[in-house]
Amino acid sequence: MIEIFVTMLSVVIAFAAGMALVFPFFVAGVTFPRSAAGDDTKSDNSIRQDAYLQALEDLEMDFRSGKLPEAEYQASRQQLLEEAALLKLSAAVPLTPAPADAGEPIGASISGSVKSQ
Amino acid sequence: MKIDLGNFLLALAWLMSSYGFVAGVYGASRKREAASASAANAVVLMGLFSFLSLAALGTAFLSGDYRYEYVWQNSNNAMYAPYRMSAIWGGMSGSMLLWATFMALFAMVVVWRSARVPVLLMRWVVPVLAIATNFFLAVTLFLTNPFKLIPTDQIPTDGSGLNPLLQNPSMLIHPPFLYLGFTGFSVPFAFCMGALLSRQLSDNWIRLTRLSTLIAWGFLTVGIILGGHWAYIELGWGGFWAWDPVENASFLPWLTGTAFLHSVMVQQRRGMLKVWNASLAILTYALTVLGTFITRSGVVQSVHAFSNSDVGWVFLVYLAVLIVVSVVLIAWRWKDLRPEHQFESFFSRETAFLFNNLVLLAICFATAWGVLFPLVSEALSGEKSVVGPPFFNRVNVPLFIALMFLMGVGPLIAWRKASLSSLWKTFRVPFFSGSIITAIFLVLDSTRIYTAVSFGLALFVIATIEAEFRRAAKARSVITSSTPMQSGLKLFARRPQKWGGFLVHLGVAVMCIAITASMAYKVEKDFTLKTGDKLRVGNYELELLKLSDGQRRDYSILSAEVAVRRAGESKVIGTLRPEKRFYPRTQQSTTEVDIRMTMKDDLYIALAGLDMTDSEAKTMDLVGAKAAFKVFINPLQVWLWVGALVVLLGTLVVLRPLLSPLLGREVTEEEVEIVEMRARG
Repeated sequence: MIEIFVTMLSVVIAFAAGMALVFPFFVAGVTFPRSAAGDDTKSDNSIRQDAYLQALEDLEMDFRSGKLPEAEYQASRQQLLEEAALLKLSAAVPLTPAPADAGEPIGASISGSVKSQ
Repeated sequence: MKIDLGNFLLALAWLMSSYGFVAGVYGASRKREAASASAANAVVLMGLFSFLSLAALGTAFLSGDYRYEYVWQNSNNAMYAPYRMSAIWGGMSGSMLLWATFMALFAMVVVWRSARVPVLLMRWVVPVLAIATNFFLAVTLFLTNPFKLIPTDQIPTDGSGLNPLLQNPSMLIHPPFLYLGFTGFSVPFAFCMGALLSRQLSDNWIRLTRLSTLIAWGFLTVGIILGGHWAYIELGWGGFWAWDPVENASFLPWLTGTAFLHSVMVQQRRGMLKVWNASLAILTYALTVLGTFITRSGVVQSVHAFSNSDVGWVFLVYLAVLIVVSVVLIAWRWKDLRPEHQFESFFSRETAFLFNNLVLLAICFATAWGVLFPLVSEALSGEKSVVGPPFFNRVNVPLFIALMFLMGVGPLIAWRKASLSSLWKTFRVPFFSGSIITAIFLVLDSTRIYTAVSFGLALFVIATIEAEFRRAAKARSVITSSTPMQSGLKLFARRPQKWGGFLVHLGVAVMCIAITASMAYKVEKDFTLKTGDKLRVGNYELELLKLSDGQRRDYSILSAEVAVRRAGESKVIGTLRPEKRFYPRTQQSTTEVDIRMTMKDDLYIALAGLDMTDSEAKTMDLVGAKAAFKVFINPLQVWLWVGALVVLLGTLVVLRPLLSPLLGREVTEEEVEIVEMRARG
C-alpha cells in the first residue's frame, strides 16, 4: 500500500515539476527576472553616487575630527566633487546652471538625486 | 516498480539543475524570456527537491531505517536523536548531499530575490548557479549515493554507529556552518561569471553579492572557530589548531574570501582592482572545490574522517575545467575590466588594502603549498614528505604580523593620498602604545621577538580603533549637539558597515592576543598519579581524589576526580573530572577533557588512561591504580572565544542594513544632510 502511495506521489511530483518548466512557454507575459533595469548602467551610476556621498561624508568627518589639515581637505573635496560632476554628465542628467563655486551645487544635486531615489 | 522517494527526489533535483543550465544558456544567449523563466523555475525546483531529499535522509536516520547502507554505517539504536541527525554529515555521502542541498538553496534564494538584479546579468547567473550545483548533485547521485539500499534479506536491526569523536555538541553545528560558508561563496562566483558572460561589468555584481559574501564569510568564520573549539575540547591535545590538511582546506577560501571583502571596497570607491576582484571571487570558489578534493581524495593524510574515497579525481577535473573557463572569460573581457583610476600614492587606503590582499594571498599560497607538498614531493622524489605545524608557523607567523599591522593602518588612512602630517596625527598615539608594549615584552624576554611584536601590534590595532571611535563620537556630538556617548552608540546605527568592520578587527586583535599568549606561554606536563597523590603544575596544585569506572548508554567510562588548589594554598578552588570513554561497538575510545576556565588561563586536564600491567588490569582495582594525565595551562585562552564572539557581533552589525532591504543600502537622511550642509557652506 505504501509503495503504491510513494509511486503515485512520485508521479505527481514529476508531473508538477514538468508543468512548472513548460509553463513560461505557454503563458504570455512571463518574464525573468522581473526587473525594471535592462542593463546595469543606470544602477551603476546610483551606486557611484552613493559611494561619492559616503566619501564626502568620510572626508567631512575626518576634517572635523582633526585628522586632515584644511588644505588637504579642500583639495580632496574638490576632486571628489569634480568626479561626481563627471558622473552626473555621463548619466545624462541635466545639471543646474554652474554657480561661482561649481562644487557645492553639484554636491547638493547628487544628494538630491539620491534622496529622490 | 519500487521507487525510493529520497533517491527519486535527488534524481529530480539533478535533472532540474541539468535542465536549468541548458534552458538558462539558451535563454540568455538567444534572449528568449520564456526559456530564462523556465530555467529559473528549474533552479527553484532544484532547491526544493534537494531539500526534500535531505529531509528524507534525515527521516531515515531518525527512524533507524537500516535499509540504507549509509544509515547503517553511521548510526545505531543507542544514539541520541540529535547525534542521529548529525550523522547525516558524519560520512562522505551525507555530507555531499548536505553540500549540494545548501548550494541549491542558495541558488533558489538568489532566483527569488532577483527582482532588483539587471535582466542581462541575472539571465546568465541562473545557468551558472545551475551548473555549479549540478556537479555536486551528480557526484552525490552517481558516485556517493546515500540512498544505496542493502539487499532485503540482509537488512540489520541495528547500525554500526557514528564515530564517537563526532558525537559532540560542536559537531551538530560545525559542519553545517562550514558547508554554508563554502556553498555561500558560489553566489559571488555565479554573479562574477554572469557579469563576465553578459558583459555587465560595473560594480553591480559586487554590490548585489555583498550580502551573500558576508553571510558566507560569517558562516565560514563561525564554522572554523567551532572546529577549533571542537578540537580543543574533544581531541585532548590542548590545542585548537594543528594545521591539519582538513583545517587548512577550510582556511584557504576564508583567506581569499577575506581578501575579496576588502578589495571590493577599492573597486566600489575608486573603480580599481576589477580583474583582481573577479579573480578573487573565482579563486575563493575554486578553493572550496580544492578543499573538497583534499579532504575526499585521500591523497593527503588527515586525522579527519572523509579521506580515502575514490571521488577525489572528479573534483580535480572539475577544478581544472573551472580554472580554464574562468581564465578564458577574464581574458575575453580584459578591456572591460580596465581600472578607472591609478594608484596615486603609496600612502593611501587603496594601497593598504592591496597590501592586505597580497599578504592574505601569501598566507593562502604558503598554506596551500604546505598542504600539497606531500603530493609534490611524491611526484618529484617518489617519497611522500609531510610538512607539519613548525613549517606553517615559521612561514605564516611573520605574515600574520604584517597583516595585523595593515589591519591597524588600512581603515584609517585616507583614500587616494594621505600626507605624512595626517598620518602622524592619526597614528602617533597607537604607534607609541604598541611600541611601548613591544619594548616591555622584549625587555622581559629578548628571545621572544614575535611574541613581543604580536602583542604590540594587537594593542596598536585596538588603540587605532579606540582613537577613531573617540574622534568620530566627538565630531558627531558637535554636529548633532548630543553627548559623545550617545553619538558613539549612534555610529553603529548610522555607519554599520564601517563600525561593524571595526568590531570585527577588534575581535581579531583580541584573538591575536589570546593565540600569542597560549602559544608562547603554554605549560604542558605529562604525569601519573594514584589516589591521594599531589602534583604542582605551574601555579596550580592537583590532587587525585578518586578513580571510578561505569557504564553508560553505549559506552563504558573511566573517570578521575581531581581537586585543584592554588600552589601553596589549602583551599580547593575547583574539581575537575576528566574521562576516558570506550565504545565497544566501534572499538574506539575518546578522551573527554575537563577544563577550568578563567579570564587569566585555562587549566586543561586529559585522562590518558590507566598506568598498570595486564595482570593488574584484569582485576581492575582502581583504589591503588595509577592514572596517566596530560595537563596544560593555556594563558588567556578564553579570550580566543571572546574575540571570536566579537568578530561574530561585528559581522552581524555589518549585515544588519543589508538584510533589510535585502539588496542595496538606503542613503540615510543624515548623510544627505551633511552634504547639503556643506553645499550651503
